[in-house]
Amino acid sequence: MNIKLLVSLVTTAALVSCGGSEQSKSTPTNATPTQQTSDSAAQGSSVVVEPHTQTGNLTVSPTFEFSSSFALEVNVDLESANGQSAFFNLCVSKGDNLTPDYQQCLVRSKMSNGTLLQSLTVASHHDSLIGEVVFFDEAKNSLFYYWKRDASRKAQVFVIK
Amino acid sequence: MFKLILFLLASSATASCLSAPFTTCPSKAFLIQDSTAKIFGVNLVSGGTNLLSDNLGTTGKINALGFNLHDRYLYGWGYEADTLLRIGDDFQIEPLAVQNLPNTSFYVGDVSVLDNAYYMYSRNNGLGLYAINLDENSSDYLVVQKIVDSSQLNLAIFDLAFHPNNGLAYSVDRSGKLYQINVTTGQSTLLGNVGQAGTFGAVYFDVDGNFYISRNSDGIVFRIELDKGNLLAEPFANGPASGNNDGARCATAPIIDEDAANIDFGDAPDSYGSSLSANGARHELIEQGLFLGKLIDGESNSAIFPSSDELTGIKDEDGVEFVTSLERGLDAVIQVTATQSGYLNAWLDTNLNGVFDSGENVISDRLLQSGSNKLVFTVPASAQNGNSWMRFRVSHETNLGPNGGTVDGEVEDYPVSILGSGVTSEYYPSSSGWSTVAFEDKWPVMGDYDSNDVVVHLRTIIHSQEGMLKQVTVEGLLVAIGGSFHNGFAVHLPGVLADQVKQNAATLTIDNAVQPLSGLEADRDEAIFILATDLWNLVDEPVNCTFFRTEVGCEDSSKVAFRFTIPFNEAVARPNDFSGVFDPFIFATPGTYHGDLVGDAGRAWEVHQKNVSPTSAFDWSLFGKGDDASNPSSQYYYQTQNGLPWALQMGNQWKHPVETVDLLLAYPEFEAFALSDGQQNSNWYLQQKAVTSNIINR
Repeated sequence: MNIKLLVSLVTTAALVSCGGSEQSKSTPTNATPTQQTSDSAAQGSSVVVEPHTQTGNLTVSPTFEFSSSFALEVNVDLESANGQSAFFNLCVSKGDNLTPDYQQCLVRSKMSNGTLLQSLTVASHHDSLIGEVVFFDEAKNSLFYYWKRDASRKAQVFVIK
Repeated sequence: MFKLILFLLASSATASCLSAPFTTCPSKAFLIQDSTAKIFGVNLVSGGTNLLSDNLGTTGKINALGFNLHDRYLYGWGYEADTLLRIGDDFQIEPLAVQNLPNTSFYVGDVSVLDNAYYMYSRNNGLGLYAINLDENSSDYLVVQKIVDSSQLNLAIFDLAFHPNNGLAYSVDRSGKLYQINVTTGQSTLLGNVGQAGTFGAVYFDVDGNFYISRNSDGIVFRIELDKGNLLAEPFANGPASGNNDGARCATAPIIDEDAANIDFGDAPDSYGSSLSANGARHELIEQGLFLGKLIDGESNSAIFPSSDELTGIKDEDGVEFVTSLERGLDAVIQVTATQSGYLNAWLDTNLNGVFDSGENVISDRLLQSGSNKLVFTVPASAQNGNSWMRFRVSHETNLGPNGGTVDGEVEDYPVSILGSGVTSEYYPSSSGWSTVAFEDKWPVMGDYDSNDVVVHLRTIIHSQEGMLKQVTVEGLLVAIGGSFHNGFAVHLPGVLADQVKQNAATLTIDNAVQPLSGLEADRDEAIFILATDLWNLVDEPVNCTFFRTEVGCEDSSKVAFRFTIPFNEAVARPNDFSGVFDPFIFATPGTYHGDLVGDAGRAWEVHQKNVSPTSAFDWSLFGKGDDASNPSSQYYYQTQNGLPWALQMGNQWKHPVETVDLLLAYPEFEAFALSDGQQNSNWYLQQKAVTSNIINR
């Protein structure tokens, strides 16, 4: 067995995908399906509740397509970036809700005179995103903009002006 | 001799007993330096040295060092004692009473691997090659024998070393000529020129027949792959420079201890130089030392791509973030985090030839501050579009190349994509995320809604420029096959025609192997890319399992990775709503049974997501059979009378239900989602919403 030398520093935040941790290590322990207990049951003794329906018994509208995504339009028009060489990222956050996770970006594009217009599809659970304007100048910090899904709107937009 | 006797008497006053031999045949080399001898351990892998002793019990120098496998002592020539010395694990010299010594000192010598004898050489007039028997049981013990006169063997060499197997000795003279020496006959053979000149005062072998030579002037250790017939000396590591060097090591030992995983290697494919045998980039780990990011791990060799220490060890490729894309002719921005100040070098394979060529050093000896560093570098305009690799090395040493060992720091390798200038990249669901499409394959008969007959993770990348498509990439993982029917899987690009695809450049890779064909379906107007006509052909036959990764206890089978790379002939106008997972679908494997209602429909049988129309290959007469309530005139497809689908798409790396477990038992929130037309529980598919015991969680 190899002996591995581990050297680490204390991290300020762990990498967590948007929507919460999806890295549970638990595995099925048996092949018998189990029913999730109801909230009232969870307060007291554990009770296995028989399912009151099966998927095949559901009835849904013929037009409902079970979509797990939504359309988003990104509209950037930044006068402060006009005339400068800049790049735009639209990414999920690293879990601190402040910094972009560059391994989870949805759009990456050079900007044109401080502008960018992009329509895209976003997975439903990505309900908050970070827009970053990056300058090709080591001395100049990025500009960050934060977007959260507005459930009251049918058409989602992220406007940066 | 009188001098020797005096020295022996002086030494006995201080030495209380004979020193013990070394307990092992060590992987490290020994290096003797300086006019008052000091001895160092040298890690040939990294060039790192550590002082073993600066007091060997002599004020003179020691040279012609050799390690004796037979008794595990070091032997060398002592200039103060003017005789052969023996050195044990306490690094104290023991002068030996050798008979018939010639009247000179030696700086060329080693102990034979095959016979228990020390060999020393001088090219001076009247001298030559000598042997000293080291077998204490022999009648010739410590008796010098002359093998050949220097008039017959006249080489300008500074050390020699014995090969681990063949009984021959080797050396390199100051002009770079490599000699093989038969110590029995005294004959030498010129093998060639190693391409480097200088005084090579310390030379060594390893167990694989690699010959290492250390140049005194700059300490560079070169490797010559002698047993492979490669005679050119390649720089291997940077060791210490010294005007008075000699070295020795146990020739039958590997140069790295497999149990001493204290070297960091890269993860790029070995063509770039990652493994030890490829002289890969490697850094000796220093506790609390300089490295990239927050994590580093050590290993005894590179994991060899497509494996990586990300899979086998610690995910320590964490020091570099690509803030922008890499586009030909444009600047790129990266964020580099270092634990200390140090020098960064980086290489980008711009011509996609699998090698970091000279001229691909895009960042050179850039001084980093401790913490985060924003760096801008230029991707050459001559770079080719495509998938490539980038290597980052940080160290306190400057002028590092893409390969070879060094004494500290870290190497991190990253797969990258080089894009055309000004290309926009759009990812679904994200640049490293996965969405999932899951099928029931009994259509037009309703299935059991365990939603795992075919399960595929998908990620799409759209490269466009000014609204025109340049390239589409569809990456995927075949995750599960839970149905007894045989199905193929394909992705249709809606609104794109087959003849708009640059067919000679389109590729399909499966588990990193480029396939002979791109997957573009022939004789179709639409652009349809087929992964396989029968998905069962892609997976290993499950052991003790009926299906692929849908039963408890059957989760360990490997998922199958694939990638369609689809460039276009010329910029294609982007169709409306062209995003997301496009149109993935399954079709029946031709010649296989797929239910009584469809018989052997084969390719003409397809299942798409609800209300997605089939392709031109489909047999429309199948609509309306069984439980299918499709109504093409209303653009209703693939739904039951109750509006239920045969395919679902989730925006994450979805964990599918266990075999025969109903979807509602695995994901209870799906019910409210469905009944509310998606107004409630839009995140029903997330893992934290699942009943863990009812899903396959790997």
